[in-house]
Amino acid sequence: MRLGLFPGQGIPAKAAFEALPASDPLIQTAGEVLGYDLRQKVGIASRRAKATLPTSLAQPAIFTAGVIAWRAAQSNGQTFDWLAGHSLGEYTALVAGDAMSFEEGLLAVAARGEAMNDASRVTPGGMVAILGLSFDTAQEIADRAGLVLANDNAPGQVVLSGAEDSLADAAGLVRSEGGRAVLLEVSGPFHTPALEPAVPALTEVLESIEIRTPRIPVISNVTARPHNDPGEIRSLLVEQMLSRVRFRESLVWLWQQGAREYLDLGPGLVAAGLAKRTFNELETHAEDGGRDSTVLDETNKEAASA
Amino acid sequence: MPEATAAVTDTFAASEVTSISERLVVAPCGGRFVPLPPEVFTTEGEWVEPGQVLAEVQQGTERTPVRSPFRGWMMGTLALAGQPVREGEALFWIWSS
Repeated sequence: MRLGLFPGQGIPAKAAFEALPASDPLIQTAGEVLGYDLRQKVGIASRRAKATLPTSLAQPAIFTAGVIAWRAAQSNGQTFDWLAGHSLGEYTALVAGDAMSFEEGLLAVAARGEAMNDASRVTPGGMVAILGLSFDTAQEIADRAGLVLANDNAPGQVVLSGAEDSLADAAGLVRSEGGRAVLLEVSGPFHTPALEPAVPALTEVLESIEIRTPRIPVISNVTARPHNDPGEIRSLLVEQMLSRVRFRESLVWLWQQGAREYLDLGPGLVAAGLAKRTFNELETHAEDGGRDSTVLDETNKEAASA
Repeated sequence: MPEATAAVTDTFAASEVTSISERLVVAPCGGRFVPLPPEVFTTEGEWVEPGQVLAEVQQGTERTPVRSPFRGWMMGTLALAGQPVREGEALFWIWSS
């Protein structure tokens, strides 16, 4: 069972630029849909060393790069049984799974990026990655600091989201617990209810595009299970912007269905890194007869409380 | 204290208080800049606490730790591995939000 993965927004500008080949016909299509030269804009933004792209540019750029990689993989004869994407990557996965066209998916992510950017001006904030602590400890820190546990990425890696001062409070608590806290280069408190002002714009664009049942199953970030009917896809994509990305749980479920092989369609290898961490822990868990793992325990606990 | 002198003193006192949140961690001595090994390396964007070792400066066989006097986000490293540095030279940029 083979899994195709698509990353979220946290990709350096240079990697996004390199994944947008000038000769690809989708670059021309993207320009027609967006009304600007996507590759040129990303190229200018990527000149600065270690630059990341602003949200409103990152989303169409990383999405387009992902679809280009998907089409290249298909023309090389690669096949996939499941598709999953992290946050923005869920849209790329839906296009790959033929639930929406590239053009309409691009319209949706461009509107999403703009709307998220605008909402972040209304409610400023940011996101911080927490490394090396358990899910429960990170959740406790989030509660104490007044933050939201916004991304459950992999064992020992979650992301908290919320007000800037609270991020600093949380980071101090993380250090005292022996973990590491890394500020992410995003413009706002994504995947929290603070993004509510972005809902009308995203809803409007999702209502205006055609969404079909995916031909290849695509995992929802909200439910950590495959998407089904198109109406539900629309509402889950809106909910996804305001709620936790359950990526680790998605990977655990896929592993339980038999997924062992995965390919990150990029740009970058962030999604594959999360899959590697999660699958490695699951394999260790399976080998030691289930005695020494938190990855399944946490999932089972949440399933029990659902 | 005469009124004019008090005003001047207040101005000087106020100038000692800064509201800028950027801070620089400087080299404790001259030598060569040595980043920490990957498992304890402080990445850009990472939160640091006062006293935390961020790197070392090597003089001959002696290595002196570079400790952050500040609490905040490590925003950038201003030296390369092996680069000769002078005492007091800026090595890290910290943003104490």
